[in-house]
Amino acid sequence: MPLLPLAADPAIVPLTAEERTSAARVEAVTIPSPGEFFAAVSKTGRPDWAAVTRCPVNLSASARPQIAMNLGAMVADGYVAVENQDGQTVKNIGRDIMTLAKKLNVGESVIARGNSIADFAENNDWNALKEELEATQNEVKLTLIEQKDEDLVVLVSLGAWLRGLEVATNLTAKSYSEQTAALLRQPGVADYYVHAAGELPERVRDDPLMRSIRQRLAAIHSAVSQPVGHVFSAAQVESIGKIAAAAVREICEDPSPSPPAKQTRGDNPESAP
Amino acid sequence: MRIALPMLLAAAVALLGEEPPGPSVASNGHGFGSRDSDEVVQARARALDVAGAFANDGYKLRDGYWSGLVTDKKPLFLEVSLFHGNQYWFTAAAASDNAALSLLAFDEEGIPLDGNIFRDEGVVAFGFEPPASGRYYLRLDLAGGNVAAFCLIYSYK
Repeated sequence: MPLLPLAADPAIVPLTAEERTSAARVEAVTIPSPGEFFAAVSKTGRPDWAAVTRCPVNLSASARPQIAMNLGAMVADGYVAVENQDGQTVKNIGRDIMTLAKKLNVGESVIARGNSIADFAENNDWNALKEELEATQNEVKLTLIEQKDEDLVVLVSLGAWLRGLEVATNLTAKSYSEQTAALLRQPGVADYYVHAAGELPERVRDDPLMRSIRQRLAAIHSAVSQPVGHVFSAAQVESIGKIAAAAVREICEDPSPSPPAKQTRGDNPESAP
Repeated sequence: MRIALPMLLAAAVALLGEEPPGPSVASNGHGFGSRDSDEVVQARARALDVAGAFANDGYKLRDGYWSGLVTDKKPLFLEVSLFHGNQYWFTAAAASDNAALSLLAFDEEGIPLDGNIFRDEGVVAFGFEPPASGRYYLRLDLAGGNVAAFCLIYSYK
């Protein structure tokens, strides 16, 4: 394939502020996938992916916005397991994603994806798994759109991003490097989610969990929207990590005051209360 | 009943004497398998064909895409967030060979970036390494023809 190097032609006019403001933001390409984020993290050293693997996650939430965010966070966990080349954890996460998808009434559409995830994990096909995880997430989103649940689409992505931030900050905290920390500079992503969360319908936006998540989003937005060349200190990384971790914890919490026996990974999802 | 969107849009432009509205109409809001026109499906297939070569070089293809209609009077802009250390290829294709597309990347201040270009009939790809993590912009232009359905995908490694 013939490629031509292109040195920025002086005749190319820089974009105006208006042109930049008018740029389309299409979630499926404007927002990077966790796999893309972790690919960059992997290049900055030898991340200890096993150390950032989560313990079994609570799957018992019943509020759809919470389930959607939890599902997204679970997809990010899938990428962590792939980076760690842990096939069994990938399979477990695949089952959990299916459990959450069923709760959102999109389980039927992703059954095939769930089977693919298990097959690729069985064969240690890590590259295929990265693509399959994203395809699964998009399949969920597409089905949500088709069943008029568009509000939940951005929440799936948001859950994945928050969990991705938590993972990256944990990795950086364990072994600080300016290069890894610099990857936290994501003003466009933070801006997208702050805007999108603010555009949610009132009944979703003003839900106690969403109010808390939006407050944390605003804090993260402020922290990651630094000028080009900014060096994130270890303290700044830790601060971002705490906010992201708190958000992920809230996403996974069972909000009911007297929860029944919790359904966690390892339980048979078919016998869930 | 499927209506060829380029014809419909061209007719609307002719009647109203106005340029099409901004990105909210010209581009696909979600970009992962919504009900696309035949032209967009075709454009996507052509883009995937080219991006397959990048996959041979270790690039992973994002599942989503940006699609819509581009006219020769109005370039389209897309915001993306990229990571320093990764390498990217953005591939845009039209449904037909006679649409001459051009694709460029700019940093968050709007400064054009160096990169590699691949161009073929109705297809263009721009590859580069972001100098820093953050926001970038792509500009898609149409030189040949009045309006063209397009699809843009991207790959990274």
